[in-house]
Amino acid sequence: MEIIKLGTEDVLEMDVLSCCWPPGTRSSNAPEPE
Amino acid sequence: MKLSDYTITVEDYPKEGEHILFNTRTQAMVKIKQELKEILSNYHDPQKISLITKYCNELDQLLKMGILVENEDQDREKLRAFFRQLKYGVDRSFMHVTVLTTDACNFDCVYCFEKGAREDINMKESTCNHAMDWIKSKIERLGYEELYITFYGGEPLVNKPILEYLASGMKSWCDERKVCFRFMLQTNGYLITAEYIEKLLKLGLSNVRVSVDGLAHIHDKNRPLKGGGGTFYTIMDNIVECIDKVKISLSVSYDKDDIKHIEDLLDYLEDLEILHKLGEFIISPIHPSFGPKNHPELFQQMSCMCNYDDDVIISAARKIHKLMKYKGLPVKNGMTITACPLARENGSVTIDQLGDIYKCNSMLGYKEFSVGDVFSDEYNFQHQKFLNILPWQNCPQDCPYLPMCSGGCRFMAFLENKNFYKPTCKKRYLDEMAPVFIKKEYEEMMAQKK
Repeated sequence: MEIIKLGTEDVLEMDVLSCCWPPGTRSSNAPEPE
Repeated sequence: MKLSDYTITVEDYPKEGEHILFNTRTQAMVKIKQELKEILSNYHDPQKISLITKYCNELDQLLKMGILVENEDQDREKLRAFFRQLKYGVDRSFMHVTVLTTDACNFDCVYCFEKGAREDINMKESTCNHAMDWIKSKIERLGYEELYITFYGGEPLVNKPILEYLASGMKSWCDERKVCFRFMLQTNGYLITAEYIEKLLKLGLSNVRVSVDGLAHIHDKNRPLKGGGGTFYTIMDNIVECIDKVKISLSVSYDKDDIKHIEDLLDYLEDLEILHKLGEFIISPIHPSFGPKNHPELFQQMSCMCNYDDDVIISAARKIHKLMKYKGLPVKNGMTITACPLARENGSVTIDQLGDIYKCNSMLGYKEFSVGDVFSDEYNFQHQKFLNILPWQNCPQDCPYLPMCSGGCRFMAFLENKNFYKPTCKKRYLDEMAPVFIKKEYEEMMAQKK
């Protein structure tokens, strides 16, 4: 078994997008990482 | 022990006999071999006991990653805990605020979602002072480490003095308190110049996002100047002038599953030798907008993407994915958790030119959906009303995408049902696209590891 991404139980550690249509889509005003 | 209902399996990838497991709740991803997959698919088979012993470390790890769960009850309890944290948690790493310096615009876009509510009003300095105080109070109360502002409009550069006043005021305040400050400019690109970008960089500008709709013959039809006239070539000249000074991303919209205009635009940008200098591409379908004030239910843009059947949406998503991969460009659409901001107590907010606060930009200007204003520290009853909506509770609880979509976009729910309560389901879209997105993410992770 190879771990590709460990994941987390903590939602606050995740990149959560705030636009939902279709799900997984980034909204036009969403911040970009530096 | 069982596979979590929120674990998706992509079989025989990257090679035959290898499989990717991805959990939408924890975002964990592993690659396993056939033997382990067979154990996972029938864990209680007595003949598998010796294999279970052989793989006990792996099984323990998969349990920790949420890919496996002890039983269905545990799976549901973890999901409920996930939604509680999503609703009430505070991500102190940064606070995101979108500010409308004005709702006026120098463009007259055919699909503008603010058209029904536009009053051409600039933010006043007194409102701006209240907005800054409101933001400062939130930072102090919740202990944010960074403030990220998106300047939005209308066109934010129509009201430069307030943009500069707010950026400079917040930068000084944040610098004194060791709070990181940066801002993004979401602009139509018509008024940006290298000189002005240099001025904004000193105030904390980190990136610029420009909306473009294709080549001139399409862009100028969709996004003309107010009063008429093309805008495409001026925008392109401005991007070329500024690209070496600041990160510029493009926001491109599409309709139906025709993406030829995006393909042509990328070719054009390649010819200009700026394609790979650009940052993230935000490619999204044209959205509908509320009807006139007092009649938001009379939606405009009813021919928008969301009214097409899933096959059209899937076809567009596949074409975009293929095009971006071919061009070697990053696109962030994928398996990321998307939470409707209406349903998050401490999610991002938008402050409009009057000081009213909204949680969804599609609701800008419709005061009945405002959750408060900058003249008061407390949110209003509408904020709590939105928070009380729990659409995910009405979804099939074993849907693998439930953690990703939380029951869907509330604006779309209003579009479909004239109320905010019912889920809006995109399972068919995700059934088709999830393997594509997971493979993309796997490839990106592997490239990073190398």
